[in-house]
Amino acid sequence: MVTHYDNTAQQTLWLSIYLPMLPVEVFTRGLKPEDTSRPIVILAQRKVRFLNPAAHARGINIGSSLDTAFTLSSQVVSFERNEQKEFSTLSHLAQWTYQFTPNVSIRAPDCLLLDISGCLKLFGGLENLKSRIQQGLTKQGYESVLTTNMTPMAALCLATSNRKQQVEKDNTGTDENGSCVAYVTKSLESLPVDCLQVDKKIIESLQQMGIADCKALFALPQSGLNRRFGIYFVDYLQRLLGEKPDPQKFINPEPKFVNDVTFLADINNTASLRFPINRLISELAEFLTARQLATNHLSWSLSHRSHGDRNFNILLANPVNEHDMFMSLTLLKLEQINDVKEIDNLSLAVNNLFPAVNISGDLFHGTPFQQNNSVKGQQQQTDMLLNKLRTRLGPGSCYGLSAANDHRPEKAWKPVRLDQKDYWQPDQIGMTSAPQPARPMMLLSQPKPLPGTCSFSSAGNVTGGASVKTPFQLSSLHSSSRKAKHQLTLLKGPERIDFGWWDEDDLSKVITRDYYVATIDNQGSLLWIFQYSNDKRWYLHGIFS
Amino acid sequence: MAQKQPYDLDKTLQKAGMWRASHMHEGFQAEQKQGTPTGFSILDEQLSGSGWPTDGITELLYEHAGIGEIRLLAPALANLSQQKAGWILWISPPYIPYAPALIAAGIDLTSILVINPKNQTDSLWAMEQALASTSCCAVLAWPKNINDKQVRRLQVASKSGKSLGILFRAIQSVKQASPAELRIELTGNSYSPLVEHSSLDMKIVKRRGGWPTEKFTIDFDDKLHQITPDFSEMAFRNPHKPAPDLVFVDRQSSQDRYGYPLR
Repeated sequence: MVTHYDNTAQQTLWLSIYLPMLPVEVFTRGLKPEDTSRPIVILAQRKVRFLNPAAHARGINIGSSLDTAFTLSSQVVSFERNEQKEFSTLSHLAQWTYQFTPNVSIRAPDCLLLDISGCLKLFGGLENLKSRIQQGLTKQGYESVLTTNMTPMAALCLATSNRKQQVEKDNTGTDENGSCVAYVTKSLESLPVDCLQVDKKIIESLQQMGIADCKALFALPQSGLNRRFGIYFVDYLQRLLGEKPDPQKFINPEPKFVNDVTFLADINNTASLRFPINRLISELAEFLTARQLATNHLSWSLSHRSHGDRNFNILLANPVNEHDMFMSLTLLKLEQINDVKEIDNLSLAVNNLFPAVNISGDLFHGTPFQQNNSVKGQQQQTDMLLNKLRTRLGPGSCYGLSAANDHRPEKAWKPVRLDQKDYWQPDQIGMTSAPQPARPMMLLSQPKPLPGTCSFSSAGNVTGGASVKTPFQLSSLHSSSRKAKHQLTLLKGPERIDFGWWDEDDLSKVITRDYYVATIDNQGSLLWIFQYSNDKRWYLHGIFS
Repeated sequence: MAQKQPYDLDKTLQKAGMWRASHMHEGFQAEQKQGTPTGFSILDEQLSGSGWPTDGITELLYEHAGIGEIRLLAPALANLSQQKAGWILWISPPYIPYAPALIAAGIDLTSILVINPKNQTDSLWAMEQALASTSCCAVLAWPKNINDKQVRRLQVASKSGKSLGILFRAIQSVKQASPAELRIELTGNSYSPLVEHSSLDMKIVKRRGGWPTEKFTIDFDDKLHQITPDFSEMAFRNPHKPAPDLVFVDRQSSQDRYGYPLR
């Protein structure tokens, strides 16, 4: 041991998260407790590679065949090992740990490395941080072993040693003033050589040389090791002890959130999805909190291996990060889904992320002194209502109203999408000074032809035309079905409105309209009707409600 | 057997919760919440709180559309929209609420929200949600058929959310009992050549702290009944003669509709 990579000036501390049951947990997490108590085995090449405690309790061992397992218990649930899924879960967990430190590195297949030297103070010390991470992982359904050491390789070694035997507690103390090498050497001394992350052949030959633990290994001269095992092994040892810097490749925070839950048995009623949905939404909320983000679009997908996917989207009025709102909207949408028979996988994807905006809340929130009309509370209520309406009725069925820059009645208004709020503001110079002719409160979407023989009279009782032959229904709501003849009295008009020759290709089609205010059957209803100037046909276009 | 006590009127009157109709104008009004002014002083006088109730369901019952049922509400809606008190939600209106007319009535369009649920269940659900949420100041709905239990649910939601619910209902349901706070029967007023303004006959069927009223009339501040005098000659005396190419003339202002003075 010649050179000492001295880093006492800036002590680094690495936390290794080892997930021993990851291959099982990728399938079992998100399940109800009664499901996880069934024996579950994970197979590779028709041999049991991983199993849960329930399977172990029934006498199934690693390496036994599937037939043996079924002989021991008929309730065994088996999965083929899915390494791709394990890796994606591991990357997802790395994203999750990003909330604790930005320096997270993935060690496939089942370890994560975190540089926690910078965040101990923030999370109130090592023990606090460790218990927070452990609790978070347990909540998500993962068993974990956490170990710390001053170099990343040493932290990994400690973690893997926990795999072999329940070793003594790692006596990590950051207050130790000794050099990094001395500290690492001391902490690894008692470990057997087979927990080093090196080629199996090297470990075997070390054991054949009679070197059983690391203490003996560290005592050997480096040049001899170099000649015998090659430069990579010595390089590894130097990195292990901190004699050489060991830069890690850290993850980048992902710009999107994707996660899913797989079910043991097919689920055939959407009501039982509530529990896994809650889990996914909690994870989403943590993801967003860690990055100070908010979202306005959740994409859910219900799938089954033998059917197509059923997707549904939740659109929100404003980007938020609120667990309760996500939950209630998802359940609301789920109520409407009744065409799904079987589900074995539920996934949530969120791609639209926005920086979170924090409105200061009410100081007395949650107390009897809480103000109901605080800005935040009001905004939340409004958003919640809009979200509920749009989730249940469909995003297109809610709109605002705006005037539009056109004199034609059909085009003088427009629906306004609530996420755009493109209200038209008339400029003050133009037409506002002139008194506007009366306009009806209600406009028909399409002008409705009045029966050709409707009888009209002006207020001076001058009649033209003949009586009505077909009943003219004023409104579907308040019309009487009796066959009555209708008499329209024209009161106010005409107001000639020219019709958009600039929108028409064929100028001969352009017809001007003469608008009148009319009363029908002298019962008090005021209508807005018009007559085409060329062929004198009458239409109903609005109602002075 | 105990001797029957003589009936003591004074004692009965002192019981808590005993309300006397003759006391309506002393104090009962004071304990009422101030309502939203309707904009029609005759109507304000008839309503407790001198205006539309700020919460609870109001039913407007009428036979024919177009008699002024929305023009009746317009001043109050304009008032609410300018206070920015929340959304004014229109649930499946029978026709398109026409933006230029709403602006003319003074309603701020940014507070208007229109939804078109596909069925009656959804629209009742939406109405209940909107009333119970404090983010709507008024909810207008045109239910096709609604029973008194559903109205009661809406009434409860409206009380908890402190928002005004308005149901436009057919006149036939005036005979059914309803838990609504206020019920008004509207009748269109036929055209009379003597008045320029349109008007609306109304009769309060049910109100808080008062008996049903007789029919009374409110006048709208419009000129919808004003006749254009040259109209009959132009279109009806001789229907075969082509109509002269005129622009609309507002006689009050001596300006045409583009704002230019008439020559």
